[in-house]
Amino acid sequence: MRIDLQSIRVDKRAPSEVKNKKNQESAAGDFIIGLVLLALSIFITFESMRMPQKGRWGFFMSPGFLPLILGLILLGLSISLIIRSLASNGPSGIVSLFRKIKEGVESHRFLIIAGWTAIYVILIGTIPFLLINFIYFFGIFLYLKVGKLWEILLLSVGASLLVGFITPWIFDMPLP
Amino acid sequence: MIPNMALVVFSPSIIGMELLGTMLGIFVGVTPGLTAVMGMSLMLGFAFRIPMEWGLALLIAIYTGAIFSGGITATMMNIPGTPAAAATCLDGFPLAKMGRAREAIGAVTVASGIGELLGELFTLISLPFIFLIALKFGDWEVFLACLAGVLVCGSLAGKEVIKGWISGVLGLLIAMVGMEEIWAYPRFAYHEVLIRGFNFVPALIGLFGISEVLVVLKEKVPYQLAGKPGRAIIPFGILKKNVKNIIRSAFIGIGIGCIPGIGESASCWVSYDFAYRASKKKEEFGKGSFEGVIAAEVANNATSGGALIPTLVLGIPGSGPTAILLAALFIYGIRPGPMLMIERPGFVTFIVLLFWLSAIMIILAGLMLSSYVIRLLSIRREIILPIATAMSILGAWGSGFTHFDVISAFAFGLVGYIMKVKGIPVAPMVLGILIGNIADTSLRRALLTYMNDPLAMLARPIGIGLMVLLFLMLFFSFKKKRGFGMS
Repeated sequence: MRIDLQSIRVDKRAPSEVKNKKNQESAAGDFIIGLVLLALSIFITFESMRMPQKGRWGFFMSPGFLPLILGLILLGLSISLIIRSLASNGPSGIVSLFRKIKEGVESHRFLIIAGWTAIYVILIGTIPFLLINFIYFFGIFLYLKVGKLWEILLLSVGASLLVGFITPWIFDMPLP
Repeated sequence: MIPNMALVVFSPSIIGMELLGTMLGIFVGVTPGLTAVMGMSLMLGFAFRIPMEWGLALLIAIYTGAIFSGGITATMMNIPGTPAAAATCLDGFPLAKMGRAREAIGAVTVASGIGELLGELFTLISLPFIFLIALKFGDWEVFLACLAGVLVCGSLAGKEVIKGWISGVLGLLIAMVGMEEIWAYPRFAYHEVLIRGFNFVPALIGLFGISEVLVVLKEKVPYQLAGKPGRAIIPFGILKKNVKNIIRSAFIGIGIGCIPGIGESASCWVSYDFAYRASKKKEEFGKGSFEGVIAAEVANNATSGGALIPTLVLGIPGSGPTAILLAALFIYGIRPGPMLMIERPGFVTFIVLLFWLSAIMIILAGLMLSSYVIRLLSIRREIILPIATAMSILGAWGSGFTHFDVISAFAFGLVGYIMKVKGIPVAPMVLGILIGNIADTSLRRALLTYMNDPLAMLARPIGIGLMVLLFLMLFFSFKKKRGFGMS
């Protein structure tokens, strides 16, 4: 296995400092998620209350009854997540978290793979299924450097046939 | 009667159909995105073109084969082939990463077979008694059982309880989207495609499958499984130590199977929880515990036995696959219900024997095919994971044949990725999506039933038992302070 030495960075900070920073970044992530969930839970709670109430038990029989309860539970859980991250000084780690995401090799790889998969998913139904599978496999195998060009071609053809022909044929499935 | 039935069941044609069904079931289970329900429903058309006995043998074998092999992908790829195998990921995958894939697959295979055999045996013996208890399960109890399932799953699936519960609540909320069953009101349906709500299969595919692909492939050097591929090893010593665990898990599987609608997706979590609480090696759970793998696999297979009870005796499906089985029975002209045993004596025995035969098949096929399956699933992650993505997308398409299902599978994949990166377990969300509508309808139907006397609803004995269980679970979760304390 070939190791890319340039991609290995030596962290010169003390281990405790690195650990603290990691904890702070983790708490920052929790803080952001907590805020998103808080907003979501408030939205759900209000929307649930707007749902129609019928019969003698009005509120209890409303379609919004369980969503309202769940919205309130989510509100409580998101608040406790925020409090916990505040106690770990989460907000101060937001900048370094975003910097890490922006500069990280893993983030770039994630964006490329997710983006390529998104294109594949969107184009399904507009391009023949077998062909779109071949394009997807060829592109992703090429990016992941799974072998030489002829190996990638062969693998892409095999995988496309498996997904786009053999499996639908076994189950008599209509194709997109 | 049993010897006569056995002659029918063990005839070459039935064995042939069971073999075909087991192979198809294993294929369905191993393929992320294809579920037992999908495999059975796709084969329904073929099943009706052949005699009833053959058709039922085929469908039952697909059911058990898929539930069994879902645990194989859970172990080898951290992607459960079926929702029933979600709990198997927790310990099966770490075992495979440690280079003990062959033993883990052996444990999955044998535990599945034993679970199936015990589940059906207990069902056959205790059918009249369980039937009486099952009848006492009203809407209120079904709601409480759903709640307990999500709560247990939330407490166990992740390192932090709070995040597990957030995931479970979000899953329940996702299930609320779309037309509800009592007033036919379209909840949170801001676009016409949302009126139908989110299909469960794309959610499962996205949250477990696509997210795992993104998590693994973002690494410059993705992990590769340690250990040499080869035939599965049956860990006899480990099985011997787990006799109590196996029996307990089988009973849990049957018990949960009896509750209509919940099925094997919840039973694996409850069983895993019990195994964790009873274990002397709690620290191994989540890091590669055979006890955890065995508990989850025995329970999810034993559930098919329990799920047969409401299906055959009440005509109410106990799980997704039994709903397909029920539809098949109706089309074959068999009317499940309390009169089934009188109208068609021996039919229940015939079904149970078919399940037993399929249990033997999964053990044999599982062990014989294990070396190929392990070899196949051990190939480089960079090759197998993109193929799994495309298969998952095909599975999402097959769940409803709409482009919305494909898009939502991908969207759930992105959500699952964020959750995994932030240490939020995805399994409670999947369970929440699966049982959210059952919980909602049951709760409101129970309130409607006891409109004039709400206290009578709270005073139902099984309901009280379940509420006590819920409070105990909450109490112990808080006591452990996992996630509520500062990490």
